[in-house]
Amino acid sequence: MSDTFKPALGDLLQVLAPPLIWFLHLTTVYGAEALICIGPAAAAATMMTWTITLATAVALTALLLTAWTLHRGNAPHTQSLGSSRFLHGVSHLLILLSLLGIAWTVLPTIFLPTCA
Amino acid sequence: MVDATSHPNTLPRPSEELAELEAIWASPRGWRIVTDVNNTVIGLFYTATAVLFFLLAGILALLMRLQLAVPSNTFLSQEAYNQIFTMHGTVMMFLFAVPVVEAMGILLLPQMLGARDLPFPRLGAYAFWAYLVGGLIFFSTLFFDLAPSGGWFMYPPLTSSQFSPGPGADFWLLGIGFIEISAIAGAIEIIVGVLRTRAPGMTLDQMPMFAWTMLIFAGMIVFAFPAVILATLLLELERAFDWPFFIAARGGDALLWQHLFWFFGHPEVYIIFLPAAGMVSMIVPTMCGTPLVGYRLIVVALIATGFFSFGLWVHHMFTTGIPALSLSFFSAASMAVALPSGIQVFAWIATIASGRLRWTTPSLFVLGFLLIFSLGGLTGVMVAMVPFDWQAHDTYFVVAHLHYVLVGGMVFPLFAAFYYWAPAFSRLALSERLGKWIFWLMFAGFNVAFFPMHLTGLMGMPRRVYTYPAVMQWDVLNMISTIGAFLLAAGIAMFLFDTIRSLRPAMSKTAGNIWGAATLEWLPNNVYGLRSIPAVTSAYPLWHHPQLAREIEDGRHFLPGSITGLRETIVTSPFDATPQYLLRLPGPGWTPLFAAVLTAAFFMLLTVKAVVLALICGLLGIAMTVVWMWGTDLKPLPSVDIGANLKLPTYANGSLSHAWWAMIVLLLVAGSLYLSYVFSYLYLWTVSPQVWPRLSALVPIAYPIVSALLLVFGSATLEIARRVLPGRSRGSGAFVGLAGLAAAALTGALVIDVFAQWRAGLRPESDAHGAMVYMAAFLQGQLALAVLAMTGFAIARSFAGRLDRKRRVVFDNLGLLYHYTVGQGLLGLLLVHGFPRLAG
Amino acid sequence: MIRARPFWYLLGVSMLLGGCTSDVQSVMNPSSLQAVQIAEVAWFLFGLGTFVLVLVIVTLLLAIRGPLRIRQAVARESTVIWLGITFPAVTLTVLLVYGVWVTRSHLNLPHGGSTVSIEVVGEQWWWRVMYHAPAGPQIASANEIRVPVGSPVTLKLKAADVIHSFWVPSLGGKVDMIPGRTTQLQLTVDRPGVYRGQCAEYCGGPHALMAMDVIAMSSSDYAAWLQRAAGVPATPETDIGLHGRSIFLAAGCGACHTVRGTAAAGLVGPDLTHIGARRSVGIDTLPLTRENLMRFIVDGQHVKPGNLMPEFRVLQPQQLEALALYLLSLKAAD
Repeated sequence: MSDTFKPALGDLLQVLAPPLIWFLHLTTVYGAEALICIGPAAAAATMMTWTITLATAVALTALLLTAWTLHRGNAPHTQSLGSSRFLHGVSHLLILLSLLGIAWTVLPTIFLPTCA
Repeated sequence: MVDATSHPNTLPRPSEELAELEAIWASPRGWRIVTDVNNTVIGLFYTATAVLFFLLAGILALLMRLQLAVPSNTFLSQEAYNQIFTMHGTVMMFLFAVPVVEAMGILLLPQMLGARDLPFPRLGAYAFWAYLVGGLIFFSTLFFDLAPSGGWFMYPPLTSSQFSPGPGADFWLLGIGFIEISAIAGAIEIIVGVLRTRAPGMTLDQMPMFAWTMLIFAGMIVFAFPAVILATLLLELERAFDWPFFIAARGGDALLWQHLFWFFGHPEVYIIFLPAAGMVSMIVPTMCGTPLVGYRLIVVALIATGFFSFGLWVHHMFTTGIPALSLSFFSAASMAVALPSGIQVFAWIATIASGRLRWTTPSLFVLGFLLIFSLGGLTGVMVAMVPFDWQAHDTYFVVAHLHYVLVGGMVFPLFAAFYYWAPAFSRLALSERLGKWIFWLMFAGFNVAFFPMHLTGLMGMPRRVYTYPAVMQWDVLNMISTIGAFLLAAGIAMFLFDTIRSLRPAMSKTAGNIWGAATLEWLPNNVYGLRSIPAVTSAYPLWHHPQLAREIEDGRHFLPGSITGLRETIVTSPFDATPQYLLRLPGPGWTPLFAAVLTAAFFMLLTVKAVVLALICGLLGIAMTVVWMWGTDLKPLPSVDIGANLKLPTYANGSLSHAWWAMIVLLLVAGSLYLSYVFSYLYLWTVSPQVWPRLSALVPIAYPIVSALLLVFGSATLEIARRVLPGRSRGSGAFVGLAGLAAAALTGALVIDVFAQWRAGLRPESDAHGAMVYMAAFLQGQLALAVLAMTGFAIARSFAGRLDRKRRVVFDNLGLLYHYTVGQGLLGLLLVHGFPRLAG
Repeated sequence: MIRARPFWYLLGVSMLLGGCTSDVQSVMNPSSLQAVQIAEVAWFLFGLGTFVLVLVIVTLLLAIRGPLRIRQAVARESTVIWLGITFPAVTLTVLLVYGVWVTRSHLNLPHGGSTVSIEVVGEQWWWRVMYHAPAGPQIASANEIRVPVGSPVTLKLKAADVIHSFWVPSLGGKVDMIPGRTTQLQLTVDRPGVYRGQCAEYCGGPHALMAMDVIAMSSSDYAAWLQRAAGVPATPETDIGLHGRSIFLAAGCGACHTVRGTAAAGLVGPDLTHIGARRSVGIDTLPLTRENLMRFIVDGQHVKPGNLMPEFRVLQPQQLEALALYLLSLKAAD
């Protein structure tokens, strides 16, 4: 009976993963900054750099992983189903847009001090 | 099976088939039409009501423009002006923009998707009546000088009981909270409708773009609205019971409201814009006679917008003194959200280039939309630049920007849509000649009214000022804006005239496909939708299959009549639209109407502190809902043949059932409400850690452990109850006992927790921490009440022989709700008892 | 610094019917380091925005009426990608970096010992101003902020009741004043003058009338003024002045207002110690004259509807006049 939901969920997650990763990355660095700026000012800059590096590395890995599952899953079952193939194309582009979004999030950290 | 050239059903059709279909779907006559639940009827009522609120809020705008036309004007008093601008914003956003989009969705989606109706017709009716009654009461507060005057985003502490003691703010909080519930009901209907009631074979890449936008629109409502619902709950609890969520002196924070409000408020703009963009994506291909260029790119743009728009709420808070780096994160996100809009604009232009644009009224409105919206988007990029926003924020520059985005991005496409789809629902099309006049008046009026506001803003005029001294020299520009506003209003008045003259709503024999459009809503439609439902093999079926209209009218496609003697529609799989079962739909009834009126009465009576009456209405409302729900989950019947030897079951449970999907969506709403709460709790801690208790003042750890064990025990008990669901017999002692025990365990866990906190001396009004702890219990209590009611309902149905091992949708949904509530409860215990231990 | 102005006038003359540009409170008439930077950003954005809008309009026209070859090119999906993704991605990256750069320069102000720090508290519906001089008494004023030209001034912004927003367009961006928080704004004014500002966050009732003046003066003038302001006004020398003072004290004005050197020490309303030296009455709604003072005292709800001072209609005309004369006399002896 669960045959409507499970395959749908898999494809859906592949589509939603890239922008979701972007969102989690954004909220993580924003939340981390809010927390770090409560603490001692001396350590703030270093902690922020590490947090952003780590968060970005995790996000990029997750995006790569999504891309990899897409390519792996491309072969067998997509030929028959229009929706899945279509969604795979959508996912690819979403990965690109999300990458750009993450790059833009990281960009200001190069220029700006942490808690001013 | 999904082959367009073969015909599932043979001719001739039995002679009585069509008459029977018509009789089953016939709307009640005369005034009893208010009991109808059919999507076309409700959709038309809904749209008309939304237009009514558009006109009312528009009149308020004209009053404001009159007041501002000359300096130091005394046309409106200060208090009247403050109420009017608050109501203008609130009504436009909550009573016009979102409802009109839902209305168009309810009206158009089933026809576009080839469904006979949406899966929950009574829920749609309920959403409409709740909106109508609640909206009218809310608007009429203006006539009694009781309207809110805190601005449409209602920032505390201005809206706290200290600075706004009157009932105006309560009307806003309860009234709008209530209308948000109606919006969520509509969103659930739309999500399940788009995913599960498409015509056989209509895969996601063949779905009309409007359906895509409505799907994403509804999805965004699910995640955005809970944040503002939580915010309204917090503020109302603060006003009524002095729980200090926003009071700085006791550890609250005014900015918490802004975070929650804009986490809703920014996506709201795109919630409004996306369906309008969807309308444009339907109109442009028709008017150019060519398929949409970049269908996939547009879907990408829609999904990206849906997500990106949740990452820029802080861009409404650039001036609140947040660290510059944080601001820049959100500046970056604001840039990111510009990309998808760029994709869509150039995809429409590409479509125009690939065909030949016909100069019709809808085309004009679409072109007007492209120009106005582009300018609004560009000023949007400007205010996304942090330093520029420090100047432009809260000035007339922003007033200009937001009207370019909202009027350009939503109202112009909506008017295009009115002109475009009128022939599908009316015996006469609207007048093309008048339409062009109307367009030019509106386009010129709009730009004359709003372009100068960019300059008034830069010249230092803040928004929300009821007057200004002559020395500021803002008078010429303001006068020009006022003249423009009246030009715009003249265009809208002419539109009203055109509708009254030409619009003759009809269920059948409408003006029809006068544009040569390609999607299913242009097939001959009736109150039951299509006579027979085709298998879809293209995104533009009417272009690829010119004889389709004829075949469908003849009944050669699927489900040419009613098989079970009830209203029916085909439920298909969410991605590839494979037929899964035949859904029997309810017909006209009083319960949605009464339930909606009683819910509205409950909220509004609470506002004026008539608690007893409110409770009576609330209980009666619940009784109505029980009566309504009693008739759902119909008895399984044998499988039926809908044509081409396709045998469909007439019943589904588990994740196959449309009701299961609706419950999942509802739980997503509840989940995002709770996540907003968790955010609020942690946020207030970062602001005021000093009011969080020391370890010694905490409740002994034994209490939450007992609560947690009870919750887990309850979940297990309910799963055992699932095993002992009655077979075919009525009732079963074991089932009743276990279900009751599970409900008791859930309630017990909550009671123990509240008791322990109270005994430890914690009070909600003492500080922000106390308020947050009791808020967790409040949210858990709401769900516990729902679980109790549903358990009672399930037990009653098991005694009535309406709940057994197969016919168990009610129990399935109880199970989903129950396990979710347990999960939320465990998270709450971890947060409330664990976090202070971790942070302390 | 002033290079933005000719453009502004050009725009003003060509696009507006002339004469409706106003320097009273304009973003585009910047007079501080910070405001000039933002005005430059604004001009850059207007230029870029115009360019993109023209691009959209031209592409649209070509799509509708252009030659077939161009229309075929516009109709390609790759064009959508170039114009709809690549072009904005590049432009927006540039913009983002530029915006961040300017934001940073707003943070990197010199923090010399010369920095003047002034506390401004937003209250319904007026501005409480407090000068923190290194020595001497704390000087309180209202609706008028005096600052020296050429050196960075730090404004510490607070709110007493609801959220307000401090905004003097010619001097820089706005910063909100939020209950329970202290926010900051740094300004370096580059020429003497009077700059009008007003509350930019809706704060209820007469929000529209919550205005103020920033008076920028040379450093030496500022120092001299500060010294004067620290003093206590002389006791009235005329009978009518003395009469006015007794009315001031007897009518209960001191419950809300402070006049240093007298028994009046109320903290609810504006400090009136040097009201005679200010430019306006009724929270920047009327110029300071005897008639206006009298009018505000008895008819304040018409001058500034909703303001929190009760009307003193009980006062007889002579009493009122004496009171007004007394108030006007409240200024530091030169």
